[in-house]
Amino acid sequence: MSAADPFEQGHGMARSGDEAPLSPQSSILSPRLGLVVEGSLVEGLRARLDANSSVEDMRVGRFVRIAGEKHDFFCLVTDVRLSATSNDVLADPPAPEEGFLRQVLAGTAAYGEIAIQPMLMLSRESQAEQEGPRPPRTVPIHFSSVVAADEGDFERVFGKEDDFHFELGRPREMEVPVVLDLPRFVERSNGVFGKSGTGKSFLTRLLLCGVIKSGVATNLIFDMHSEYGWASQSESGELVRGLRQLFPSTKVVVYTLDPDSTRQRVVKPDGQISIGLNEIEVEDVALLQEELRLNPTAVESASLCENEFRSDWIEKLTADDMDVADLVKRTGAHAESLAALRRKLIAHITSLKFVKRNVSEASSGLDKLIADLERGRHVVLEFGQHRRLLPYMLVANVITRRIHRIWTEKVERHKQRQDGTPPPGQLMITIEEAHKFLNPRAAAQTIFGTIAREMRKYNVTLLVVDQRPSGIDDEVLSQIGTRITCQLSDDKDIEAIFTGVSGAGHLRAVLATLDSRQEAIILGHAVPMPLPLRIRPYDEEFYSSLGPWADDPGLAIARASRTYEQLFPADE
Amino acid sequence: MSEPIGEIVETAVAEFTAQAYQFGQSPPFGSFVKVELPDWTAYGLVYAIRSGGVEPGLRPVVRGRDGVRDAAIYAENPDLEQVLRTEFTALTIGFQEDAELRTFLPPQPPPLHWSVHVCSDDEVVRLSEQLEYFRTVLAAAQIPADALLAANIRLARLARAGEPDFTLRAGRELATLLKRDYARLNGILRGLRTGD
Repeated sequence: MSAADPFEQGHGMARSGDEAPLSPQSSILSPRLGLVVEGSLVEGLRARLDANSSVEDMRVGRFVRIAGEKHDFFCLVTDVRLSATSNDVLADPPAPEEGFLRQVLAGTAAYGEIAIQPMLMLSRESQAEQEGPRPPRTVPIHFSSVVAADEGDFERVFGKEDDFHFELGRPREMEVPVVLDLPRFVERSNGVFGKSGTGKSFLTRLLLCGVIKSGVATNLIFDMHSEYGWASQSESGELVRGLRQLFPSTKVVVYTLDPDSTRQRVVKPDGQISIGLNEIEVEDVALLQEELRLNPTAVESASLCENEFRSDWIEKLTADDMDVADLVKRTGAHAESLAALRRKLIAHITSLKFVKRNVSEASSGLDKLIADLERGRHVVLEFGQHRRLLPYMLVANVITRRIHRIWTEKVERHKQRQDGTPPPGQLMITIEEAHKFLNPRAAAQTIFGTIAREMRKYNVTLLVVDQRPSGIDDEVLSQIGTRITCQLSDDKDIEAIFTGVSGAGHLRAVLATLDSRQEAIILGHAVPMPLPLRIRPYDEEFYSSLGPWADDPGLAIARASRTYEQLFPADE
Repeated sequence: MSEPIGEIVETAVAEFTAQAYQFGQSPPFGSFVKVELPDWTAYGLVYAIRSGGVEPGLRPVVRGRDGVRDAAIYAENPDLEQVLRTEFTALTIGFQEDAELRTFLPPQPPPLHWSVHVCSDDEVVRLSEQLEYFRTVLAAAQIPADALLAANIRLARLARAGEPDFTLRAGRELATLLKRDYARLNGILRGLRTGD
């Protein structure tokens, strides 16, 4: 057929169902899914699916690109719908055996539609390409092609994996790494949310590994269930490696509150932590108000005692020879509240094994821990058998308050002198059951609330791990930079996740589609746009990606535990 | 160039009627025909075929009698083919001009007495690449448009053996054109299906 043949052009037209770039500049390599037909920036766009794209392939949360006239728009599919050109089709649908009719009607008289939310736009001018994608300020023109995003699109939006970009997972529909910008990640407080059993601790472990490997921040992990430091069991019963096994001891150290439990697992802690009674302040007791079932008057009584005895208040108050009646007279405290406070402190706090009468007796475990953090070593603090909330909250609060003081001082010194005194390194504190620390009441008065709200300036941020984000104070939630959310079923929790996120309504549908295992939606500061991900597996391949020292930790542990047993025989 | 099948005896922009050179030898209902002129070629779809007496107003009379029926009548009356004629009418669906196929009506009708040819398979393939002529057919008044399209699609399918999904593509084109008339669409589609 010659070039001048009148039918040549027609031939091209007939294939237009597959690919028809509207603009000559746009290189549409991916198959076209449909055409934008209407919508708005606020409410999102609506695209009619082509006859050959099945609605069943259009999963909510899918990452698509719209090739507009001048811009590429990166979007998420937020809804899928079946439509028909006339009600007659719906009233008289072709029966299942009418295969041909069904084939013809599907995609023409009856068709699929997708709702799309633009998340980013990128001008096709080369200069703009370098600046990277920006939040959308307009919508693509009518009938722009919607195409499935390809690897190149993911790279243009999320960037490539490198020393500071950590692969957290892959999109559902393709094998391309989606990376987290780690320096941006540690800059603000972050949250890992999800109901129990959805893989929060695996996700947290991955994030911690990424941060440790890149060295963008030092981690302090309050490890309630002793699952981050050394090997622990996954939900399926397999043993997975802890951070201490994946990184050398010059990088990660494990402290414990319960040396017995650590020893039972034939691992040797790098340090032991005790808390002196005089380190416990009224703030700590106030935080435990619920756990101790104290009424507000009792907390007031505690303040009065602290005024009276200064830092020794718990020691004095709980001493055997304490004359409560006399104390009531002197301080004007409410007698019954004070008695209750005393009773509960004795029952729940002074009886804790790791609580010593004073700091000197508690020795310098805590100082050593902080020194390690200052040197940039990552610290996992295991709680061993003290896995109840009360000791966890108590210890986390006491230690964090101390860190807060030191970091604040350092930053202030750095600012005042302006002579090159280095600021303290970025520190990320991981806490579990975060809603207990950051509920509206606690957030107002505890150190964690302060950190979440303003410690970004002092280089301390939180990684909160929680299954009940709705329990967290709104103000704190809105300060959370990056949210990585596994499946949540409670409406209130879902609501909470999107506190302070614009255009959240569309994402709610996406969140609802997450699998209960190994899927999460990531949104916020460390990623350019929200995206549901299949979380990367925490397995041998991942271990070996971390570096040479992770190569054969099994051997190293065996060697270490043998030495340990020789040094500390079990019957000692 | 193939032998012409007929000659135009009545012409208009939207349709032309030709008398077949051989009595009873009309192109089939729904087939593509063309009229080749020096500067352009008209294309049409045969939508009506009629046979009758050569003299207008003179009706054929019954010729059959005992033992002589059907084909035997023609065998006994060799002159019949001289006094009877077959005419067919084609709906103009487009024309080719300056090496380009245009799917709208030509500025002038094809002239009287020009030859009408049946399109070859190759031409059918090329004409049915783009199905815009469906719109012209559906819009034409007082012709059996639905049956015509179904017949045309069935014929085109035979020529387009290389495109197994042609019927589906044609069906989808119809569905797009008839989105407001589901009953009519359904009728045509059912006509296509039974050909399978």
